[in-house]
Amino acid sequence: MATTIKSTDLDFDTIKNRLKDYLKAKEEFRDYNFEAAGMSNLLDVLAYNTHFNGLLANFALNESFLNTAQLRSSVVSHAEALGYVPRSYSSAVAYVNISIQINEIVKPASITLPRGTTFTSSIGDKTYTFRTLETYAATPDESGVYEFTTTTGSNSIPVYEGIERTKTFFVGETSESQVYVIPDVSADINTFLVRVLETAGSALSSAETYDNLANAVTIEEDSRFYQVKEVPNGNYEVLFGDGISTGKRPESGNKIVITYLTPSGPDANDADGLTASSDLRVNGVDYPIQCITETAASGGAFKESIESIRQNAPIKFASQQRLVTADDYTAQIFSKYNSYLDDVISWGGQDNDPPKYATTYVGLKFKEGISDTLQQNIKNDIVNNLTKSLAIMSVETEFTDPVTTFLEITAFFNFDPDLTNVTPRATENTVKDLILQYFDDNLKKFSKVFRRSNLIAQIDDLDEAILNSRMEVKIQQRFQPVLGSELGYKLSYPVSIANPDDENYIITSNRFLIGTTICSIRNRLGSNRLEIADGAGNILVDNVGFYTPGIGTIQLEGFGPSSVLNDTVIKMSAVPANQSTVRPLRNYIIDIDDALLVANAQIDYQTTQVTL
Amino acid sequence: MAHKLEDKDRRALDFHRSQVRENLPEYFMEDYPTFVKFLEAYYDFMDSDGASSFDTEIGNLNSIRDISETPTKYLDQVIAELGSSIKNGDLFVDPRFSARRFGDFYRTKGSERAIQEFFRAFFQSEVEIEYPKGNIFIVGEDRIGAESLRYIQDYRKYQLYSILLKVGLGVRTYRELYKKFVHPAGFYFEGEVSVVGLAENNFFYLNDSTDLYIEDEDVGAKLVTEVFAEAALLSSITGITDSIDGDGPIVRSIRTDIDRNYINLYQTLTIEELNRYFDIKSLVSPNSPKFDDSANIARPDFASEYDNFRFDQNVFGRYNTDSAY
Repeated sequence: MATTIKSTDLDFDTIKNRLKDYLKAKEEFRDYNFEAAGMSNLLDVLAYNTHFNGLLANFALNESFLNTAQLRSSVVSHAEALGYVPRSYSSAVAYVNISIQINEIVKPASITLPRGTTFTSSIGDKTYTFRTLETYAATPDESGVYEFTTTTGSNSIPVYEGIERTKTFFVGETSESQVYVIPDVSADINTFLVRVLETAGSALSSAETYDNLANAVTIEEDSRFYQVKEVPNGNYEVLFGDGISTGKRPESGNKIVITYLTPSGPDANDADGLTASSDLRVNGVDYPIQCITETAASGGAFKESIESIRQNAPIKFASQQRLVTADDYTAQIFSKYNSYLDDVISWGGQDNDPPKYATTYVGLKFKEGISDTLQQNIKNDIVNNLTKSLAIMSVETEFTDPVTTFLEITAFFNFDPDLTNVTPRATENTVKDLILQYFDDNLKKFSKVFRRSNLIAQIDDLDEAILNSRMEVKIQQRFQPVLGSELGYKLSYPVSIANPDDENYIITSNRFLIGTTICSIRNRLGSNRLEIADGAGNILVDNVGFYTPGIGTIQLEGFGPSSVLNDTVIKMSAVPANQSTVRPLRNYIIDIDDALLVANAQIDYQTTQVTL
Repeated sequence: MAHKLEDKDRRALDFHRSQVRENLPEYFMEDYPTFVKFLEAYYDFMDSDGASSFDTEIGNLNSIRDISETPTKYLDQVIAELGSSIKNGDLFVDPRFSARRFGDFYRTKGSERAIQEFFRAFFQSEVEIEYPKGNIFIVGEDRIGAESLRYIQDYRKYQLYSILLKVGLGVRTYRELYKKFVHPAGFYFEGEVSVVGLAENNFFYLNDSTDLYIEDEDVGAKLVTEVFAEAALLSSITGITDSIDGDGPIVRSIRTDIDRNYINLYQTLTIEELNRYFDIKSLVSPNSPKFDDSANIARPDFASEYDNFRFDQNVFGRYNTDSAY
């Protein structure tokens, strides 16, 4: 969230009083009555003038810095100074297998699928159009099936959602400052195809294609690169080299043709079952295109938000297009793949448990709906296009999946019904909603720490009738047992677990069946040994493992439930050593087990004239 | 109207002046002189008080992103933009200098220079960077024994991917910032507290294990003395109260400003001859009783450079003020 600079006092009354005091101190105005109607009106006008101009000065000052600017144009401009290009609208991408069947005896040796071949898919009552952005080739198998493949041999063809648009410019006198603006705030700048033709009448096939400067490895005076930037009104400006330092400059009389997609953003995510819009013509004959959706559409996104730009631009600047520190990995990966990712965390292998040197670990939290195949593709892409190019030689990248630690929250609050018309039951539900919202807003990402006092403070402020509150916190890890087989399981928690207690169980579990007996796991009172007990407290297995408080682990041995009651996973709950702060390590993410969320109102009429 | 003029020869001067008399009808000057003074007083008010004065702030807009001139509160905003997670310039002795250096600093990330600049900028300390992999014992190449100073790989300090930082700060002081800004992810790092330059007069004495040697490196020759100090006597700096399996923290004195010609001369000394001198000081001091003129070796006069030593004679308790020099 942006902070603001308050440079001058913007309270009207204060300004007026200061003006009055200032004038009173002047010899020539000392005897004036500043409270008189005429003089007071005059002071009002001048104070308003000061107030108004002070406000403008404040706006100008605040717009001068990335952290305080409120206008998108200012934030984008400051980000540009740091070398950061905010994300534009992003097209949702689906991966499809595309083939055609040719049964003629004489078959062509190879066929091509042209750029711009379209496919459609519907979500609800809206149809989205996807298209290829490259040309793909296919050769026949023995049955006459032509399956199109990428240059790397993969049959997984990416198709991008959006309406294709073309904007044409004619290059004027080069002495003039040339400005090429794409008048489309929703353009996906990653789909830009920039071609320059010799003259207005030249064939498109003779065009020289320019590449994005962000992909440049070396630049020479005849290198063909363009840059793209968001301009103050949200459109996009394309800039070319100057013929010296940033590559070739289009000549006067050239024609520039820019083709791009205008996508629907996230609305097209999850589009599945794509079908080809038309047949493919080969040697004058139309053949139906067989299309199998391998991966549903994902990655569609709106423009990057102001807050996101504010956060990412300085980190990207610090990274300087290299991967040295762990934060560099986070910045580079998130800035390039943020349409697929909710969050990224990286840490050096020296901080891993166990340590693994010459390795950087990367945890990726993908957005909802990203398929396993696409997740793997993105990981491969990160390695091939990012870490292999930019990381320190011999340092490898390893990906780890997020590990979710669930919190079981039990909130108690004293409630005075005389102070509100809302019932205790309704307030309990409101408290539960607040807790769930707190987790949505503040947790569920890497490195987000649960701080109990912050949440309790919000509960206290929720309603005047809530007099005070307290909260019990348990941490929970889950695993899926192999039913009917006695196996060992090790669970790691991101924090230390409380030491054994003589009165309260530190470790508990949900219920499961052993044979036909409903039972659960708990620690033996005063001990870190784990036992299995039935509902009546009878011990069925007196040693099923142990827990180690200091390092926050549970080791189960010979555990073989026959089924889990009302669930598929065993939930192992533990009282943390410190319930006030639960800090996730590395790739842990803190979430809430909403099924075990309890809010309990305790009626308190604040009566003191009674006996206990 | 009060206008402060600060001409630093850096930017075009901007002379604000009251336009009240120019803008009001001429007859106001004669018919309503008090009103004119009143308006002038109002403009003076706007220029007089930073709290209610938009004029000052508008004036600041010219230089608000000029690192050299912008007020500290705005410099903090610039640093927050350039310094990633750094919120203001409080970490730096000279925040303006540091703000100018961010770009270069980031671009050299991954190099020794970046680590050196990090410690200078954030902690105003010099750091010595070593790669313990050079001291790993290699079968078939290195000799076995304490004299070889080779260590078996331990998957911590003595391995291929480790960095040793010698700096006059506890690791806890810089660990998080160092990892955030310069540390190559995946490398083990260990810090050694260097007490050179930190030692104060007469606060410890040294035992006998003093040695002197010459390091002749590409970057420049160094004369080095290492001695062990009693742990407890250095605890105010190192936090170490006792030494369990060693003789205590190493006090290391280095002289890097030695002329290569002199080094060449000293390299002709035999080990036995070098061992007569306890440390750099005894070697270079013109009045050192340890120096043996009979060796008849051309001996450079270091006397004029003696003051440049990075340690005081009192650092070496062995040579306290009562010692014969």
